[in-house]
Amino acid sequence: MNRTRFDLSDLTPGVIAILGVLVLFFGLFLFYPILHVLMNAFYTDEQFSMEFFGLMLQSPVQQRALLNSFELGIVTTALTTIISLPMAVALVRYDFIGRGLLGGLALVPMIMPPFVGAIGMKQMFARFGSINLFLLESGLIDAPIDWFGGGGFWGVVILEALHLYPIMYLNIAAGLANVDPSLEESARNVGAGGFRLFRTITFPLMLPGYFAGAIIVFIWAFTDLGTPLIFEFREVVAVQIFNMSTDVHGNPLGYALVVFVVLVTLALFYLSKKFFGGRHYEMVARGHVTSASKRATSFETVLIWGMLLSITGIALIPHLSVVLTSVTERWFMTVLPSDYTTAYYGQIFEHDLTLLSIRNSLWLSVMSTAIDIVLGVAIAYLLTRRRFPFRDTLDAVAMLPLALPGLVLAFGYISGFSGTVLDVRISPVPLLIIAYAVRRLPYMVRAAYAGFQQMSVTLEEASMNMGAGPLRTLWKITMPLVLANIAAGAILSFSFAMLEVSDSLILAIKEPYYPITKAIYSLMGRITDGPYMASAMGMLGMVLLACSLLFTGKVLGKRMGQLFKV
Amino acid sequence: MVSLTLQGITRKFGDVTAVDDVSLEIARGELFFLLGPSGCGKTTLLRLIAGFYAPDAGSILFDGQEVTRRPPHRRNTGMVFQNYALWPHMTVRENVAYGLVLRKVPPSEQNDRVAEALRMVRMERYGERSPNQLSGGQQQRVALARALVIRPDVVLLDEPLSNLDARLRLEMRDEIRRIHDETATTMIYVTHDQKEALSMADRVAVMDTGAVAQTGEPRSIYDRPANAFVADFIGETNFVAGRLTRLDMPLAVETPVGILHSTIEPAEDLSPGDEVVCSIRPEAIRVSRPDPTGGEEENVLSGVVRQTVYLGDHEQYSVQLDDGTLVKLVDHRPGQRLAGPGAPIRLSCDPSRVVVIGKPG
Repeated sequence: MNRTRFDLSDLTPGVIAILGVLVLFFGLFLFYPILHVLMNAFYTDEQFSMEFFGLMLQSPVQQRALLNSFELGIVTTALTTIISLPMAVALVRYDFIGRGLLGGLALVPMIMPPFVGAIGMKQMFARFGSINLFLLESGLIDAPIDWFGGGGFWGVVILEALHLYPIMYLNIAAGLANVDPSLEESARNVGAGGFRLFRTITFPLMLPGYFAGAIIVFIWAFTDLGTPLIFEFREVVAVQIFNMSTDVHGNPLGYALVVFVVLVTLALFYLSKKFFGGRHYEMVARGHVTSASKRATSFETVLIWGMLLSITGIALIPHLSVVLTSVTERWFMTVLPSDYTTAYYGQIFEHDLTLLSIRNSLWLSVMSTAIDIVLGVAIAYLLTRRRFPFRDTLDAVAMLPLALPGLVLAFGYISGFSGTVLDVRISPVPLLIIAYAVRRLPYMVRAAYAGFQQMSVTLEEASMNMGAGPLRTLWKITMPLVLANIAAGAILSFSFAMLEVSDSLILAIKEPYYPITKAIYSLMGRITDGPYMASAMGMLGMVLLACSLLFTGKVLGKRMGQLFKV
Repeated sequence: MVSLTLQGITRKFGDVTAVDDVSLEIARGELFFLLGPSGCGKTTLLRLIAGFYAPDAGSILFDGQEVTRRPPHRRNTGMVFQNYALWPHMTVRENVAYGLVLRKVPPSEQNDRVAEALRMVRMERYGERSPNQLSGGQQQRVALARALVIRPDVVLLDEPLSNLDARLRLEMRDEIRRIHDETATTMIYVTHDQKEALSMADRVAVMDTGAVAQTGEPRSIYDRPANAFVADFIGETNFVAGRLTRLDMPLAVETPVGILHSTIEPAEDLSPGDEVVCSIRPEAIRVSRPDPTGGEEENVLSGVVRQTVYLGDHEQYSVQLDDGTLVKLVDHRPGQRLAGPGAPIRLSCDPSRVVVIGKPG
């Protein structure tokens, strides 16, 4: 009976009030900062001008930075594709012993932000790091190999690819699972088989899923700040923007760079919507489609196991290196550390910088998660339970931060709120909280949305029918039934907030306000025990994220993958 | 327990008028049915009574009191949902007690009333179960107990049996009727199943595209359908088209197969010369044999048997009348076949079972 898109009787004062708050929140903390950057990039002395773009494109440093970032994005995307495609095919299309276990293991590398991995990897792959020493000692090489050739380019690419391939895999797998097996069967029926079948039928059909994953990976690599900083690969757009964020008034080039990043992001999403948008939904709409999987022969099983284990194994090297580094007492010119200690784990709770940063991060993340719970539940509730004008717009806006690089938002905050009460030079706390909240809101919305959608509206109606008002119904019936989903979304939001990189690096400009990630970055600058303590901090974060992902996976089950899709 | 008055209720969804100017009077303690095909607006009407929708026009009165704008939680109705809508995070007992807790009923009385409600639906042994551990029929009973325990002014049932299998459906019909008689509560029951309505209802409102087509007791709805929609929707019927030639009793309709007489007062305003149809139920038609006393038979139709279907307790005949019209009849004592396909046959029917209806459209 609910054929209409909206119903004015659903626009109760309560709903209007919530919508008002949402418009205000998104307007102030999502659209205003971006618009502010746009204005500053195009208007100089009250006049429209493209001057900065000229400057940006003429400066050799910026030219190299742009080129490097594009290269980073493209190579990382290509590398994750090469890793994920066979993985997804094996895990979706073949049925074999240990499929669930390997599928879960494949996601494990996500538990650490790549810039933390970079710390460990630098130890292992340095000029006189473990790997070179091992190869030298065993006589395989005569001179140390420069593993991160090109001034760290390959180091960044490898770390990002190893961190991002699970996201690519989830998207490709979803795309593959959406391909109606009967379409392949009919192709087989007319004589297409093997690679030809994959190239002409399967691949085009799963392309929307692949493209969705590729965009996330590309934008991530294109705008990642932490990893290039650790590798001191400074000629990339993200690092340039970071450098300029400390001087938003003096140097207008930053605005132009941010606008450039926004344009690249927009262009990619526009292309994907234009070419795949419609088709994507057609495929998803036929919900009953389940992809047929083939029982693997024992030879195939061995092959698949070998492939998946080695991918996961390689992807875990950065994690392993961080673990090793964090317990290293002395590690100089030897393959493995010569002495081990757990002292750094104790020290991080004594040292001013680290202890304070842990406290800051906890406090900031708790606050931002609280905001996410309130806004996310409200948005999900409106989207699933009410009909009102511009519903689709609200949906799109709430999901926008998934696509928006953290860098852009942070830069917009710094410049847009400078000179106001929210100026980061007074205290970065409010903007840090809001930045974390905005960036992680999509996870919360998706998790709560799934909960509301599963729950039949009649359960709420039955409660009202029994005499419970709307608020009591929300409290006694709705909340308990979607609690698990809300908890899953909240925990995910919380732990991602704890490990948020670009916002933290850019917004937290004074040491007393450093969150964990900025403390790790600043520790790296200390020659003596810096890397060891940074690694110990990284371990803390890794354990936290691993636990929360496990919990979320338990609650959301198969719908977990939806959290990482645009 | 209340009486209900609906006055000119209209409810639109966008361009679709789901409920169109409906007025009804439902008496205290009545088991009242809203019957109609899917999309006729019956569920919307029930939800308007429960307060989940507000009407665009018209008013709803409980015992003469205006409740049209009252929110659902202050109407004191007890609704049984099509999917039962039992809360999965509560036990059976907690589900049933929920409405009593909200009404601040003292705990000891709560226990008594929950036990009483569960006993009434024969679920007293299942109080500590979770709804997920119950079968469909059991969930149905719990939903009923939950609606009854608050002693609602009116119980609203939305296709309560549609998710049950055929055997259970028959059993639950008797159960609901029994519970109605035991509690003497006003109940409004929505269904698309005419057998449910005919067998259980005190009165029925047949709905068609948002409007009430006819209201009445099951017998009068079946025997004296007010229009072609009701005649066709309830049970099976034969339509013979013709022209009304006499409005005095008995009515006379001139048809291509002869004059048909009717002694039933038409429900619509008709005048001589109007195009009409005669609705004749299959069981009202019998095979005519020459009267041994030589008396004249009324409403004689002649034709040829086209098909027979033997069903054990009765046999169906399809007869093509002289003008080509197909009619169906049933013989309830099919000891031997009256006539085989191709055989000529003479049929007749009593004027008290011919209903004259204005031509639809």
